[in-house]
Amino acid sequence: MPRPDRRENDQIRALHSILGLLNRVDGSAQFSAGSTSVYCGVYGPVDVKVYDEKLDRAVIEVKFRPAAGVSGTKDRWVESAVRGTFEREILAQMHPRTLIQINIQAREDDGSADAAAINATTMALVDAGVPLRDMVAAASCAVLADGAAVVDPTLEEAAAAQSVHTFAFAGSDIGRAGSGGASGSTSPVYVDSRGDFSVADYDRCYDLCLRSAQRVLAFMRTAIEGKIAKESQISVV
Amino acid sequence: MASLILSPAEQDFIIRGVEKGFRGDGRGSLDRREVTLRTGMISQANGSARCRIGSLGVGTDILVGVKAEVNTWAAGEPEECGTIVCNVECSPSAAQEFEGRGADEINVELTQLLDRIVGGEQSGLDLRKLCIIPRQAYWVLHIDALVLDVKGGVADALVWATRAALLATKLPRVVVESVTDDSGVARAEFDVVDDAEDQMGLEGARDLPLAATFNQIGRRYVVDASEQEEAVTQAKLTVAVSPKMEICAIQKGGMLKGFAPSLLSEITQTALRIAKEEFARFDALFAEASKHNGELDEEPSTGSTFLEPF
Amino acid sequence: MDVDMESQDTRDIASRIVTPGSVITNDTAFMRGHGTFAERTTIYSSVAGAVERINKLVSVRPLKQRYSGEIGDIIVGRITEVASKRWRVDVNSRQDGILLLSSINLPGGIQRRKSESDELQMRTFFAEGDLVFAEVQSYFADGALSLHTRSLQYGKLRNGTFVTVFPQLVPRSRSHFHTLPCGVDIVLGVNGYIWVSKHVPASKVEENSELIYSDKNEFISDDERETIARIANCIHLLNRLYVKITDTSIIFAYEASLTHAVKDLLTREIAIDLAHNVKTRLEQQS
Repeated sequence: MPRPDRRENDQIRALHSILGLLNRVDGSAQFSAGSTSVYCGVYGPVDVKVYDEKLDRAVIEVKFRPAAGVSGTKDRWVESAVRGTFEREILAQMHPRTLIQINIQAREDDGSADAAAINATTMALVDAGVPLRDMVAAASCAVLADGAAVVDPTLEEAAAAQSVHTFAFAGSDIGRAGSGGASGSTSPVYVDSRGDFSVADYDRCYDLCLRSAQRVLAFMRTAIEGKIAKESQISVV
Repeated sequence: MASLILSPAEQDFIIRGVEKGFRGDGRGSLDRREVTLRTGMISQANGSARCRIGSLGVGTDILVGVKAEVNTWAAGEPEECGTIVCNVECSPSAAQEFEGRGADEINVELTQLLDRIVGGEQSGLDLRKLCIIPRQAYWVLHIDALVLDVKGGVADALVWATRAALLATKLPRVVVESVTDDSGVARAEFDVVDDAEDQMGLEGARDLPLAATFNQIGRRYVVDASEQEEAVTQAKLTVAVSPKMEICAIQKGGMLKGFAPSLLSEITQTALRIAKEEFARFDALFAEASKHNGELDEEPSTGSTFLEPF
Repeated sequence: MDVDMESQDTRDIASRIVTPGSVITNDTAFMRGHGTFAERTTIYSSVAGAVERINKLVSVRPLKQRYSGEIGDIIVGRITEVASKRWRVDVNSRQDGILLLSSINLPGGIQRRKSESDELQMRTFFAEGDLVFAEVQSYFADGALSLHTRSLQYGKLRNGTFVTVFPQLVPRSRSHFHTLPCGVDIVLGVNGYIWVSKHVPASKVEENSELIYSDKNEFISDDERETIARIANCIHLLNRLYVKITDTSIIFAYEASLTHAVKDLLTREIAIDLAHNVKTRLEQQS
């Protein structure tokens, strides 16, 4: 059955990003897929108050605000999920006794906002120069009433779906899977599955999301490298 | 707003400079900084706009979205009008100061400011046209403003962005029919036409005001204060003027001292005097923005797009 | 190792643009520096930027970074807190710097013994909001920078205006205090904090050492104000258009700016034009 916006089942929406769009923070990025748009501001590493500090690593704080309405428990879940994901990827031991604050603002939500939030966070951390073990790319997938699995679901598609899954993968894992490693052997750094689904559904979504994450990662790398290339030329003088 | 702290020497330099007609960046006392205006960036909103006032990509930056919703009338509400609800928020992802309780105060202050200027009849919008069926259903316009950065002059950017967003707002057409039920009672029913081509703008949007904020520094006053000028401001006044050259609203802010009455009237006269220029400037920027409607903006060097879905 | 292979190897490594997680090299001969991490025998990049190589040390410098001080750095800082026998100073870094009472110049020129009254009157020297011109002396155990203003040239900044730029645009050099030909003094803090002021001959300060803690400005003429505003705008546009900020680039910008009104220097087209002009002249020079 054709999707409302005529995309293929394995086709993600048009991607757009802006790096460094906010001036008062150390790093920022906006990440959009179709109409879903999320931006992230990163502050730090900064000194943290003595009672909050960890002696051997940076403390990571995440705040997520939805596009509309008051923030609720679902947003707390996104916060702890993002924190858990990036706590592993940020090389926090490099900045003991400091704080890294990640503030995510969903600007517009037309589905798959949590994946966009993770992608925006990766780009904002890179923009801020926070040391990372790897980049993280995320994608979502929905299993519809007729059993079809579609990537990057819109709000409408997700609302009518039987289950919705979001996966995030580390860059090197994506690379390994891409070059012929057995798929299914790559652990995602983040998974969120909601609804009624079978193991087969999960596996299908996993595969689709891994491939989508590959494209997202390529896009993010190109965007970042492009910016550096331009600005390296400028700062030579 | 978390104010910049300046040394006594810096403050003196700025104040004496302003009194002699020299602002830190060479502007005249009535000169506004560069204004950037974009519309249509929030596709799910009925109207949206982003306004930045500053220079070279840095400045006070505000994003406004307008969402229209149909509300069911309840007793006690105006019987033949729609309503406007304003909300202003400073985004914590934009600055660390915008977190926690400090931000709440700022949010409330700015929301009240916006509400006073555009939150009702005084905005120029024809609220009666927002009524769908008297005593039954009406449109609510939710105006949501997100402050992304503050570099002086928040009120102005807020009002400019809101005016642009409301001018760009399109409401779907509503068809009202009279339906007679089995017992012979006639009722009105409405249907919102779901057609992107069949939409209308807001009646009266052209009458929306613009605002200019005047900061008293020493014995003079300036328009569109920079962050540093805000830090030495004794008193400030935001004056909203309609295209008919009428004063719609006056809001005073950040008071260390009061205004002398003569200064008050001088400022409102000046506000009227510069209003024509301000509207001309706004109209030119809005026309330009409408041409590029919806195109994702900002300095291309930091943005990348893959336009083909893949 | 074969000479050809070595130069190819090093040519491959430097100037590559990498992102976090990118492999830089598997060659165990290299040592890892800033912006990298190692796992087993592989050096990876932890940030996004261009790979730099100095001899066997490989590092990656990201575009944006908070200022991290080095001993000997000349900086401009803003006092944020007055504490017991010390001041906390905002130096545009991830931590505030510290200026100890024992590290400042006391009026009278010579270091005299610290008395009770000095401590109680900390604010007669520096108070919250004051801008200081200082040098990084050492580090504290927690990494905070320890500053000093013991030479007469350092101290409280007056007679001008403050400008912030990206720290990476201010190269470290022998001198950070310059008197420009147009008659304005500038202090280029390596930490991205810059002071632009009316020129005051050094001799005046030396004669009258109480001036170093004065809050009062000298008389500043209209011409001087205009020049200060012009220089400040030039620095702003160099910053936003990502051109290195040195006395030379500022002078080039100033000269090119003279055909425009001061306030117009911050409009997009003119700023881009001037920055381009400056870059061309800088390239020709080198």
